[in-house]
Amino acid sequence: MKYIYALTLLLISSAAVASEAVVQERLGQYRTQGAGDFDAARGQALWQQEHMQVKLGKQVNCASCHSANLQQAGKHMRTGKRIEPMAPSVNPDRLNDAEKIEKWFTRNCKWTWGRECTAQEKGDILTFLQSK
Amino acid sequence: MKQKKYWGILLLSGCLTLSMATLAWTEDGEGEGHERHERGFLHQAADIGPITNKAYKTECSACHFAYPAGFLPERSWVKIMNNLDDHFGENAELNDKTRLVITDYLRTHAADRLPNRFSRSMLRSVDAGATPLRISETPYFRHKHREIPARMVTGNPKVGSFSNCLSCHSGADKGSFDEHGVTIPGFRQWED
Amino acid sequence: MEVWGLSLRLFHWLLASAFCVAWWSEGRDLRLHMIAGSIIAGLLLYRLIWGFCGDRYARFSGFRPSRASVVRHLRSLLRLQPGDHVGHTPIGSLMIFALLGCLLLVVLTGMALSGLQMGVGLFSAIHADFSTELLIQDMHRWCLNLLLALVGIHLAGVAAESLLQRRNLVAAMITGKKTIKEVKR
Repeated sequence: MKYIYALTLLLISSAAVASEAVVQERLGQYRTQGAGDFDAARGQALWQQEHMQVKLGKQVNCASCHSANLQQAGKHMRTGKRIEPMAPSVNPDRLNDAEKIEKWFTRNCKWTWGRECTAQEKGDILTFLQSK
Repeated sequence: MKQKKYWGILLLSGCLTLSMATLAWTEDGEGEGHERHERGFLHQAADIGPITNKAYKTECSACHFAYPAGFLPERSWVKIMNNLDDHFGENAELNDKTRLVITDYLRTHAADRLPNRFSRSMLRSVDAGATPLRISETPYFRHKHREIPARMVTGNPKVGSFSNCLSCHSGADKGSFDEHGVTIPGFRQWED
Repeated sequence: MEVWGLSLRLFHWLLASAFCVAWWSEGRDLRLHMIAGSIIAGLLLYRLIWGFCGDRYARFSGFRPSRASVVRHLRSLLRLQPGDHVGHTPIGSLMIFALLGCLLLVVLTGMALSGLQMGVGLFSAIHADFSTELLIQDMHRWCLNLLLALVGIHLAGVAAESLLQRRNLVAAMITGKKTIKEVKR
């Protein structure tokens, strides 16, 4: 029984370590692009900031698909497809693939805010997500 | 009279063999061995087949069911893949490398490239000059789903729209759209 | 005496089983459906040829129903009197032609569909537009419905005649033999 505990802990922590490494790499990249200190509280504010989605004709924010509670699953606004929780603490698959992070930043910033996110904003958001 | 009996049996077996042989008859009779096999009735009468490209499956099932390539003509897939920044109102941009891999897969497995009975009928229902972007708007799809009332789909919170294939066609991710495997969530099994 | 030859009996029961398989497999396993359909096509071809050069009771000329004989048969049925028939009864003959004709339609439309939808079979070279394909599909279905009705009547008819003639007609189609009563001259 103890072994299963230990194994699970090891797996989660190794995932956590992997995601930690990736996030740090990303943050480092953003700093070279001109970002300053990163702040989770700012990241949270960005997450909840509402914008008018032109094609949809509605106000949206990140929580519209990803849910305000990051430890819960979200739902695609249009297709209803389940979106696994963003919080790395409950979902070890999150934040451990730099390409995946950038891909979704490109798409979702453009769709939600109508423009690409700045390096500062990405860093703040990543910091916020990592803390959950 | 016994002779007659034997002739009768001979005739019967001959006719049966002949009719079974016609099943092996396909249009464009000559072709490479592998292609011929794919055009044979056993292959074409089967399901549309699962998606065999990992990139397509991963990238294009993040928000919706990954639609089999054989359900749209090549020109439709090309148009979709060239406009990912406005993908039915969403932004589905991809890096060039992945985009090209997926486009290539979709093009080589499109309805006008792969002989399959779904693809053929689908193509036949679409005007040569039209480039349908939604499978659910092709006349073929509409015909197949003509008996389904709106309340079971658009008015059904467990389904939502006709684009949500997997909710009723449970074998869809294996390429199976068999009429007998249809269960509409919230309602009983659908019988044709 | 032997009325139904061996190949005819094989034909009959193969046809019945192939029909059941084709009916069941439609929508469930198209490959099985097409194989069963092809078997029926071959069987029909056999019957067509055999109807012209087969034995006495199998030949079409032997049981072509004339109006008079059908009316006579109908009258005797209504009086619940068995007729004196060795081969096919007049109304039975009508049924056979109806069944064969209907089966032929089902098979032909089926072959057209496999040619159109899969480029397979005798009709593999044909081309048509979508509405024609749907029409052929509808025809395939209508003919099947008609066929089911005919089969129902056929089964009822065999049962009725068996009772009237006091003969097990189903057994006769298996063994081929019927006992013939002395003909009073």
